[in-house]
Amino acid sequence: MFNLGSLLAEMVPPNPEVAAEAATALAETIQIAFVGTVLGFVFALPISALAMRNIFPQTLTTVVRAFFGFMRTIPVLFWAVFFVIAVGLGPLAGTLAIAVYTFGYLSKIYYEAFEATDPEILDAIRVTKAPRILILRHAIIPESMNTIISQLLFMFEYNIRSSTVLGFVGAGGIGLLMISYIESLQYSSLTTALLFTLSTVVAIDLLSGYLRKQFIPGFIQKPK
Amino acid sequence: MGTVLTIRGLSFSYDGRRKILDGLDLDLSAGETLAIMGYSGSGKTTLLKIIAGLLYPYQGTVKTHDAKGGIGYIPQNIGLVKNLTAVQNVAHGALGRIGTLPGLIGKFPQEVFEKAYQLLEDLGLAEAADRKAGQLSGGERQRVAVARALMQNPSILLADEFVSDLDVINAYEVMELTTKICRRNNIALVMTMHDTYLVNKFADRVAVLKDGKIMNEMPGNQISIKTLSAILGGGPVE
Repeated sequence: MFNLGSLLAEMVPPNPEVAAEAATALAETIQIAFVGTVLGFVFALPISALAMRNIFPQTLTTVVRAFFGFMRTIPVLFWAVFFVIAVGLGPLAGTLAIAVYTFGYLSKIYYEAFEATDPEILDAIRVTKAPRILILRHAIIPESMNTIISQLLFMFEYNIRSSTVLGFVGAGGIGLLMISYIESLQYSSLTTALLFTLSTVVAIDLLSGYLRKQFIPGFIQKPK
Repeated sequence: MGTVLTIRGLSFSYDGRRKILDGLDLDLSAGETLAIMGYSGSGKTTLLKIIAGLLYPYQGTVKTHDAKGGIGYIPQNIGLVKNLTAVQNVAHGALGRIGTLPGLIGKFPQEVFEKAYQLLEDLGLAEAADRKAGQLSGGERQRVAVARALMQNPSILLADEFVSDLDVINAYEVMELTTKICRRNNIALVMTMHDTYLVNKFADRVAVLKDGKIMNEMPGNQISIKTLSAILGGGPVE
């Protein structure tokens, strides 16, 4: 308890001199989260369809689902360590770790949403002899758009939080700065970094809520 | 009128034990309106799905004879994509013939949308064409589903209880428009129905399905609740 009190005493007030440094590192964290999320999403959206049991044969879907499970089971921090070893220290490792984990998570969510598509929509279009990829493009994805956007926003919010700690293993962003502050006993600077991170996470949450209201069809509005 | 569909000895089971269809025979002529009636669970939807090529394997033969036209299908619960507009849903009827690459980039030929708008106008939906399907009323959604099926230039149109959820006025209007368009274009219409009044009014012929087979056929204007009960109950037909 004495150590805790002593630590808290050293953490306040926050050190304003490192604000610029923290802001720069935080910008890098946001970039890691954003690019990683987009990369993961771009691959997850089409590839997740290969796991649909109502469209593709079971042999293929079983293999694809196992692959997604593997990607998703390994925590993002472990992926960060893997990519730090593979590509070196810095934000690239962090971005790839976020992308891989996002791919595994979104793929599962998306194929489950796609499989839940009203089978009568599929029946009505199957009789036109349309190729499966066009059924996916023009019916399944539009019908699942609420889930697609909602889960993408959720993943971005989650990845902002994940990205802050990836720096602990050398994968770039504000986590790297925080570790350096801890190791050099600059606790007031750590507080500055934490406050910046907290503000950013809250701002992203508010922005995400706003985007959901604007772009997700059927979002319930409070009566005026 | 030429024959567009011949079914002989059709048998089908979902679980390999109980036969839903059991040696069913049926013929359909071009431009004819055929109503299929029977108890719920008697195999009406199954029959339509087999004709549409959505269910297999089955025993027996199902042959379509008009090589030019396809088969249009209106499912029981319509099956529209709620987040797309009425005209976009109708354009789905052309997905089988626009090519994979143009379809992937969303480049539909101009004539597809021209025809889609025209079909919606014929069905009284010109003003609702650019509204999202989720915002349409039940009757409007039914008409969009009809237009989507007609986009394929079908020789056979299959409609599964497609007016059963509508009020009587809407049901009558949708039936009237659909049968008029089908007769004008020589499209054979097969519809599963429960309403003897609408069958009387619009069907050329009615086939009663029971125990997996067609038990009785008669001109559409001769069916009544009494007659139907007699057929399904196994009693004499008056």
